[in-house]
Amino acid sequence: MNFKVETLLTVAASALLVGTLITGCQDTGYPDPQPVTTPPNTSSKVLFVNATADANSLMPYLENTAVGNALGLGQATNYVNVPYLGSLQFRVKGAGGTLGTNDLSIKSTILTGSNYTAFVTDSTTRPFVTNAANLTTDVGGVRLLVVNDPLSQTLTAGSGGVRFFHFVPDAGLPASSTATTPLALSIKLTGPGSATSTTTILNRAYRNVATTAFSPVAAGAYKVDVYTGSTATGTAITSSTLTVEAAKLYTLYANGSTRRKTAVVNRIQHN
Amino acid sequence: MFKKLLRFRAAFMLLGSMLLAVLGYGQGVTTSSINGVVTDDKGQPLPGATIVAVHEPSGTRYGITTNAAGRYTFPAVRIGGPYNITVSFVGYQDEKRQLLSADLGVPVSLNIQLAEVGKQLSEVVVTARGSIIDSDRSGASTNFKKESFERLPTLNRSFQDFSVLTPQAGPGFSFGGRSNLYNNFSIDGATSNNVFGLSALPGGQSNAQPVSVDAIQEISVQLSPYDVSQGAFTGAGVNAVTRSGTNRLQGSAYYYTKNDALAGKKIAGTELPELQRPSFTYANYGARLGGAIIKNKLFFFGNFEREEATSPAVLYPYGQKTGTTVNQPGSVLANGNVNPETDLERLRTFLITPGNGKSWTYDPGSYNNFNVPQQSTKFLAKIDWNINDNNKLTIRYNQLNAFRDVNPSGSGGFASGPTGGRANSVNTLPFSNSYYRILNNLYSVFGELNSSFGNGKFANNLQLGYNSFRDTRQQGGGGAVTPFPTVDILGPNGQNLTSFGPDPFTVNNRLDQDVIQVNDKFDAFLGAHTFTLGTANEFYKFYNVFTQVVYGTYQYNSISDFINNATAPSAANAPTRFYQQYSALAGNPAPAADFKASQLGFYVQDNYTGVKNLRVTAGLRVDLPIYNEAASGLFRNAAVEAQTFANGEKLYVDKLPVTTPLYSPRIGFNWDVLGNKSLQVRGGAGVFTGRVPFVWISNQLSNNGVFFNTITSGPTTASNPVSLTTGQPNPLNNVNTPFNPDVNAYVPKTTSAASTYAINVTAPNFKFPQVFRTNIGIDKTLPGGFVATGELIYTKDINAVYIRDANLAAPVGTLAGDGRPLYGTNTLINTTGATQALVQDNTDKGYAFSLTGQIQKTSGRLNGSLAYTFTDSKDLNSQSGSTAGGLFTGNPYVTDINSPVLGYASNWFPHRVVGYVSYRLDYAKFFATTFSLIYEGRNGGNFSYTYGGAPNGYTGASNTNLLYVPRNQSEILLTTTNATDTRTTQQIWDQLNAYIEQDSYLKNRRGKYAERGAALTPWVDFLNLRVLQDFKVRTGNSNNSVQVSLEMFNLLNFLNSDWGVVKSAARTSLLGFSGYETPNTATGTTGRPIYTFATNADGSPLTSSYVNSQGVFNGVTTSRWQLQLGLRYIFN
Repeated sequence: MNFKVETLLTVAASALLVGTLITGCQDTGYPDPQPVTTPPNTSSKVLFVNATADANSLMPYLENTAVGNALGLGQATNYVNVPYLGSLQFRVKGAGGTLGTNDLSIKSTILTGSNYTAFVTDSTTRPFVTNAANLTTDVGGVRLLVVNDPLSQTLTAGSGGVRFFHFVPDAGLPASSTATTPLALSIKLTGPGSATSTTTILNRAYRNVATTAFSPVAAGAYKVDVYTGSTATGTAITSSTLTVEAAKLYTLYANGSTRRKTAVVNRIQHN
Repeated sequence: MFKKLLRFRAAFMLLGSMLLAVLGYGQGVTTSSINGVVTDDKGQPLPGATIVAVHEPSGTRYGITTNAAGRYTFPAVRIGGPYNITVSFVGYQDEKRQLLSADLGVPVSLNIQLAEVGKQLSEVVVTARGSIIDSDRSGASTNFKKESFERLPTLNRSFQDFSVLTPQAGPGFSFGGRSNLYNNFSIDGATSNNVFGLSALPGGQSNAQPVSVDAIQEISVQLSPYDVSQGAFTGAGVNAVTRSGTNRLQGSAYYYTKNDALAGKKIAGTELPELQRPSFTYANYGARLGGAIIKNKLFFFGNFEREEATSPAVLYPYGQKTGTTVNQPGSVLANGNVNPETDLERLRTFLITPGNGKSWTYDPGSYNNFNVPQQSTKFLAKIDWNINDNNKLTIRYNQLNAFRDVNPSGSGGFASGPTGGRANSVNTLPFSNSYYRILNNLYSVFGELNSSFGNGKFANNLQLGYNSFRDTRQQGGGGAVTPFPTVDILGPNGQNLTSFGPDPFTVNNRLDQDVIQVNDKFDAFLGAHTFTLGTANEFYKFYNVFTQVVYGTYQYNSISDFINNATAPSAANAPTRFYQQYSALAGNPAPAADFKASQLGFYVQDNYTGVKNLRVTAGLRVDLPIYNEAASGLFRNAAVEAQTFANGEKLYVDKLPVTTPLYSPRIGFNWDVLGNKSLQVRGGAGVFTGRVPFVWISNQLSNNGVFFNTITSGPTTASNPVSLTTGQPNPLNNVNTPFNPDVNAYVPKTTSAASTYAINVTAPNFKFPQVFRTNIGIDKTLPGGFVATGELIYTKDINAVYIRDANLAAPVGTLAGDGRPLYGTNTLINTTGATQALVQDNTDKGYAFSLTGQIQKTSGRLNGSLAYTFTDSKDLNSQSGSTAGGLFTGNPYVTDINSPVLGYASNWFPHRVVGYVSYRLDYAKFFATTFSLIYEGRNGGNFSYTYGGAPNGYTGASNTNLLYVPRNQSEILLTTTNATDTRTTQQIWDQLNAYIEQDSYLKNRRGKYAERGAALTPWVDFLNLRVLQDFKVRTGNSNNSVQVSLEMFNLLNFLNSDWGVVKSAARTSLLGFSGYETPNTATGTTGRPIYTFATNADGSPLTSSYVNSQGVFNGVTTSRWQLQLGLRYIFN
């Protein structure tokens, strides 16, 4: 009888052992992933503009990949597709030592199906801001400004769209003044053709890009005058021409320096 | 024939061990037992023989006569020895035996044969000791005696340095892969856990030990005792039995010390800079004394120990450089002056100087040159009374008073804390009054009565105990907290520069626990059956006050902003944040969780030895956790009762779970295969019931949505206009909360409950943790005094604990990166009232498995042990925190956070080798030298690879989404980390790909998710050495020794700085989540997620998974060697 119990016990023990090993241990419970098969969304586009007062040669990069060639003053790249959406890094290097050893870079959010213009603004001599509380946040020099381009904006038939930005760091400041806050600029388009009607965009503050929408302007050739102040009156600080085609969108921007008499108005055609 | 018998018996007798594996025999075992059969020279049982056992050092006598089967049992004898055992019977010669030592819970089996008068057996007086191979052993357990404590190295003067020698031990006082909160720790059988659970052991929060190593006689670690009188754990039961006095006056006084000068400087060939080798001092000194008040009758034992350690609080002082980085506090301007916006002296002067445009002053303490002390005082006193041969009484009192200063917590509590935290770093230097002191006080009294009736036929063990814990907090340096708000000031780099005012979690913080224990165990010895009937009951009372951020917290962008806001407030200098929690109960500024509970237990068991060479134990235990709702202060929340949660669930914050009886049947066996104790097979299976840390129940009482309301103010927006409300400014606008030293300045005069809050509830049918555990063990004696053991333990969760959020909506989509569930932008089912409803519930998923091979030699001058253990442990959530919120949001996961899946447990070393060797040499009459080594080799700790942020859309839990490991570049979108990152997308991918390839875990997980807890830091080897040199002098009748001890920890690092290096994970949140291609919606449609793979802080790529750890424990880094010196005087 003893023998039977012992045998029984041996069998039971072995069964327990084997049973434990087979059924007891389990794998972790994580599912199989479904890796993505779609390529990234590259529907958005970006272009760079050298709207500085005095940085002669800037090399633009998007996510550290060069976008086009070096930009002289008032030059712009073509639109390039973004590699992906989200918060992308815009970088500008001073080709030929224009910016010294410091690159300029920021991150800006790129949404789907949108177009953006990255303006490089200000003067390379913009001072280091000495506010004690902001010691490391503003090192001076040129800055980037990324603006949305609403290319799907509907315009009235037979019109193009025009908008205006002010990038003259010393607008309205006399050479002898030590003031640093530029005055606003206003722009007047006279035309189309020989017509004397005017379209104005008034009181645009320095680097104010709050209004990204285009104003409808009838197609035709225009004379463009830029004035200091909130009204398009007095002596234009700079002039140019613009031929507006229907359904085309244009950004006019003033850059350069009034003190050094290099202020000009440039244009970008977006489509 | 006799000689053969004797040979076997001698062989069995000589098997002794210093480290024994034993079966615990009783509830909170404090004793040993001796039993056996008396036979005549023909092998026939002798009923009525008289047996007397005398514990020689104390003269304690136990006397009994054998029963009808010739069997005798002394069920509860004092541990230690030697014992002189005399057996006599009319007509037979007296037989004497000497038992060297009766060990804790090791029943000694001593069969004695009597020879008739005139006949000779043998004159051999054999020494017998309890053995590894013993019929009463069935479960898995390990035992340590005071000789171990005296010989083996212990860095922390803690019994945990010995419990880790258990082959199945894991990190942090855990065993078998289970959480350390599920152990039961008892001193002399009295539950001495911190049952509330803020730390595994009492005194844990102040790094103190509950009892001195010098006061301990033996420790047993039980993993699977099939004796049903053992309960209240699903991890391990650890029982420490304290020393008792003997007839001889014995004592010792000791002093141990270590400091930073006695520590290594190099890790892996590199000398650490001085700032990373903080200075510290440590001293542990005390004395013990034991003896007889009345010889053979009444004994006393006392122990006193004090531990003092200090280290500097500030590792990154004001104005100093750390490597190539300049500390922000005290940063220097180009003209050499200190930047006023980092000048802490300027801030301090403003605060302490009267006037200055303010009507108050406040002393924030200092910002340099102060210490964080750590101190504990322990005291223990014990009386043993041998009332008569049948009754022995023990009464013990012990006390612990400990404290430790800690740097301020960086958490904001219900809001987020300041960026960069509040602890001292390169960026941050808090003032000393924001440090806090945590105090742990324990007072415990315990009594035990062992009685025997009916001439040894019956035995009773009665235990009564009372534990009182009083844990409080004070200001750093001691003293009450001054009412003043907490102020965080950011530095120029956007990280927190400094903080002053009290730590936000210290005010009112208090925990009182009272635990009463009543246990009784009754044994009836009836022939081959031993029946046991017993009860084990604990009664708890908890009082917990936790009022976070109750003095308010302000945050400013600069020192000037604060100074200006305190003197001339305006919109320009307004605080960027102000937040405060206040009591919503009128008249009660500090609402408490006040509740009572109890756990009753009843058990019955039979221990059957009817079959030759086989012992079977079968029993049933019932545990009844009772929550005393009526006596507890639970508040109703009518608003929550009206809400409906996921799946139609209703929750009641004032209801604690119903009492469900939890049954634990167990069966164990021990089979002496060859009948000669040279090979035994043992095992069993059973259910074990534990208890939850009661802080998890207390969470329900404090987080009921009724106690507290909060104010959070921020910048002016359209939704919080500047207009004033009646009698109080609208605090939502931070312009209306300029700095005010009055902590109640912005608390509304008429308080009301918050409109949104988090609640914690326990499921109505919640059950205490239960596991099914089975083990098989084989022990074989080998020539030369070795014993080999193989052990297999399997544990399966029956009731494990997990947390779910009943107000969290289910995922609504899948993430287009790896297909994991994606939460939409509306994650709340109810948007008012309880917006987070954490329910503590049960699951049956989880298991642990361990396999051990061990070889031991326990006799002779040289003894030692070596064991290898393989462990596999998986669970849903490795439950090691105290708040439900933290447990819920801190668990790495992939699928629905409310439905976690099996991952690897936190307390898990897959492979572990542990061993020790000890050699003692007595020579030249006056000298003795002992060498001991402890070796531990094991995997490093485990961790999980996750994303920083929450790609699955549930931002309530950040940094816990487990990583998907991409197979190639097309499976992942990578972007630059920040504006200064100079890498192209291709370069970022190449760095990430190279990192995955060099990581031993990730490279095998391509195309799969990284599993929770699956990544391991590299193998570590630790070797600790102890050398003891004794100088012995005999004066008159007494022995005096002076002992010099030298202990070196991490000896390998001493021999070669490349050895003994501990590594930790370089970056567990490997990738950062930067956003989606298109924003998330309520229906969970996004584009692909976009990730960043940051470089190191200096711009170099992350190329290695591990960094050398300079982690510090009690002032000592684990990767450097440390020397501890000691001096001890021993009397007798």
